[in-house]
Amino acid sequence: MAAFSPTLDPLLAIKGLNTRFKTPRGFVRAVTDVDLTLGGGEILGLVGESGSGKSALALSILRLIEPPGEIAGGAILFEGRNILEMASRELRELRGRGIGIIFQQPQSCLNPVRRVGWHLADLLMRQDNLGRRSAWEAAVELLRAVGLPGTEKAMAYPHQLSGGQAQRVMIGIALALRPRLLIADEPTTALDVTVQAQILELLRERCRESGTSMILVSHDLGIVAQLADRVAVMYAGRIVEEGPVQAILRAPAHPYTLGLLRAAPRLGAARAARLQDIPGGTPDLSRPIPGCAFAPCCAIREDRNLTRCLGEKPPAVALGPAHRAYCWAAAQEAASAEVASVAGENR
Amino acid sequence: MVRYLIRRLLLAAPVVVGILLITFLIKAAVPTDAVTAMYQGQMSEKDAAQAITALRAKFHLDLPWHQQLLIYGRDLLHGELGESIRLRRPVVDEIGYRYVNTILLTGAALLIALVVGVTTGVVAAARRNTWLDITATTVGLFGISMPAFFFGLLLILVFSVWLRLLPVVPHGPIAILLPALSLGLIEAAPISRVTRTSMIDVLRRDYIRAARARGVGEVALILRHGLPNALLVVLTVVGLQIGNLLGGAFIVETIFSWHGIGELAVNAIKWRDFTLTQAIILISALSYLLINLAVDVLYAWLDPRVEIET
Amino acid sequence: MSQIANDAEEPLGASGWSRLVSRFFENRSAAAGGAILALLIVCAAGATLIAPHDPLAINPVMRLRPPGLQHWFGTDEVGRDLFSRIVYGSRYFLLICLVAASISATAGTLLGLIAGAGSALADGIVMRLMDVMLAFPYILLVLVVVAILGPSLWTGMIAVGVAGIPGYARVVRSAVFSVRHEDYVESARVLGASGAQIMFGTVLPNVLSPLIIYLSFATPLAALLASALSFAGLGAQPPAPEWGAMLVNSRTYLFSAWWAVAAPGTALFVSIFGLNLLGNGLRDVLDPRS
Repeated sequence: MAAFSPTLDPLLAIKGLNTRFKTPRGFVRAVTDVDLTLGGGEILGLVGESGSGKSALALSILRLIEPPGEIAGGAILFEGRNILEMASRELRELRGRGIGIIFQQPQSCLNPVRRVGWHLADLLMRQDNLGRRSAWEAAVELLRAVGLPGTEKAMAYPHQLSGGQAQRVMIGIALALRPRLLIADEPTTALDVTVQAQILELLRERCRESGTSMILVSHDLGIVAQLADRVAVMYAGRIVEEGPVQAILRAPAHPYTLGLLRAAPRLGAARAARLQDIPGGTPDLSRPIPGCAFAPCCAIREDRNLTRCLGEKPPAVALGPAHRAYCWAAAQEAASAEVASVAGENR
Repeated sequence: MVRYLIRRLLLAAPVVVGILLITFLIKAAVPTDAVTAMYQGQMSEKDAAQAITALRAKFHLDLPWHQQLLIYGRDLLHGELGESIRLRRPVVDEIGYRYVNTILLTGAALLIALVVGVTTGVVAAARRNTWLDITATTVGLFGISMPAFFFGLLLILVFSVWLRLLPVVPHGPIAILLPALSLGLIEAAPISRVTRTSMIDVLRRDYIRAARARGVGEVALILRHGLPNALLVVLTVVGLQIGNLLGGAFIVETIFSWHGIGELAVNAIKWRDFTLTQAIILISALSYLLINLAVDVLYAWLDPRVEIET
Repeated sequence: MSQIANDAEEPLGASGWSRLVSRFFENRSAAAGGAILALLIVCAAGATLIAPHDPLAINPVMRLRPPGLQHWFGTDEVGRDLFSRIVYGSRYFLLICLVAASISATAGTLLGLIAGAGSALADGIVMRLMDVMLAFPYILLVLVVVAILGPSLWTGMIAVGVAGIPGYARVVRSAVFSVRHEDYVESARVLGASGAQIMFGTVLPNVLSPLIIYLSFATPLAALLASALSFAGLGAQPPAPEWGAMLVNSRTYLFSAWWAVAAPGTALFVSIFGLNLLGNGLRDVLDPRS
């Protein structure tokens, strides 16, 4: 897997994004001060538990957040243009053709009274200006390319398909529009484990083939590890760690990332080894959190008796090329490593 | 499809029997019997007694009720609807063209109700919680509360008396306009309400969100992607509404002198002419049954999720 | 906090009732509808005091007079004061609502309880009967009863009442089904309560809510139908000051005296509209989920 560093002219650059939802109790901050970049042909994994804001972030990119939700600030630059400032016509052009998205429940994403092939053919007729006949043939061909050969599949209705088949259709539709970036929001969560691998493989193949970038959103670090070049971990609406996938897996810096890795059951682990869970519940996002959101549940903070975590926002700590974490403990370590190396130099 | 049809027809059979039994009651359950009621107070005691005895024999009222029932069934199977007591003519002669008229009126009213109702419902759903929506909903509430006969009178008042756009007793095809409007505009109200609710529900679905994420415009989302799904729900309601329309037609016909079976039925009941009343109600009920069957079949055909082939 | 969510665990307590009542008065629909109903009741009860003239008094000299100081709504074709007739008409309207609703609701609830809480055989028989009745459009069923009994005010009310039974039966039946297998019903049975005791003591209170909502919608419909009957000459007969009956001859006088048509028609419309508003409000209060 190639590693790209997001430097000049990234495909997507998110700066200071804030998304919130209005509730009777006040605003729930789903996404807070998120900075993220993505280069061409790169696969970014976005990992977090439910409520971490990852789906809200994904939907915000295409401005698919509906009231009572709203994007409260920041900029999303795609190929240089700020999506948040686009007029509706430009936005419509962008959706699907610039940036595509596939969702978690594929069967409900298809119009129940239309045949599967219609979804594709209709699209092709308008996009490529094809006639009915040729559009239908192209549709059948596209379905074959995603693993659904034969005309009966094209003639089927959505309720006649399995989850995996429906997701293949959605991938076919998304890629038929030839976007430069594909957002996959929990594409395999609703599918059987055996089918999950197939769908992920299909996604990886198609994206590599066409050079399409992808943001893969998931709560499952394992899935992300298989496909992604880089990983960003989210907690309570913020990015807590970001870096190349190998770095995250081998040397996670943020306590939460560490917790995620430990919590994943592993084949081959000793039978008696207990699954380690992450203590504590999800924080209340309707109130501003002064320090680090993970602090109340953080074992490392306890062990090292760190007081800054609860009161001050942790800074970005650079851990390597394109690898950073937002953590006081990591900052402390980085500072002492710095001191040690300076001391070592001076000797 | 054929098997589905046959299945539905078989299911309807007991209902048909029930309808027959109930219409039979019109003749058999009259407390003072029908013929006596008709003649009471209309002629001298002696003449009345003779006429009554003769007629009673003619209409089998002197037989025990289970025999009457059998005769009724037998006659119906032969397509024999009997003779109107009051008019001394076969019932079929009376009903024939009137039935067509009522169907025409009901059909026209349904058309108006659908066009007006669906359009306002879609607009209200698309412009939720704006003044457009609130107006449509309030007008809808008016429609449910407005008696069709009063509305008909109001229409005559406005169009014939005040605006003088139509003659008071119109002739020719234009005559259907006001009666169809009185029925149709009122029935548009519940249809509008259902369309709105259904549309709002559909627009919340994932496939609409997925289409929007592909760059499909709002208008296309509503009309091409959403409406076909919403209309399926409306279709199920239409069957019920036709019943209201049919019933409303019965009353509206009397206002506009629209010569349909409704007008005749009202008169028949006033005259206590049970053969005529029986025949009209029987035909109306059976027609309603058939229409509902047709709506069910149409729905099954249109919604791919309904299993037609077993 | 929805009281309905608690219905499955316990019947409404005293605090539940007072909460419902206060929500009722806050709801605009319910308040407006309630006000109209109150107006109707006041007119009906105090008709003798409110109406300036005798509603049946014929006065050929004053026929077809437009609204004025002496006759606020004008006079009809035989000189009767329209305002007085409208006021007295409220009695007929309320009577119709009461009689029709009573017949439909009582018989319908009983049948619904039997079908819902009884044996499968009882359910089958009752529902077959209801299906047959429902095979007729509402008005046709009404006409059947009127045809049998002959046109009059009472037959009109009874006819509308009888024709409304299947609707209530269905609502009650499905409500019973939804609570039938709840634990507290089972425990009542185990404790030795008889079938009737269970039915009336535990099941019925929880059927009350959907029943009331249905009642609030079905009653205006019934009133509408009854007035249509009178209009057609099959219900209340002239000279009774029933609003539908007052419109019987009105078509003839549409040109010379539009007020004779407008007054009873508007009274009908406003009353039915009020009942529908009340129904909307009740539904919002009793079933906030919808």
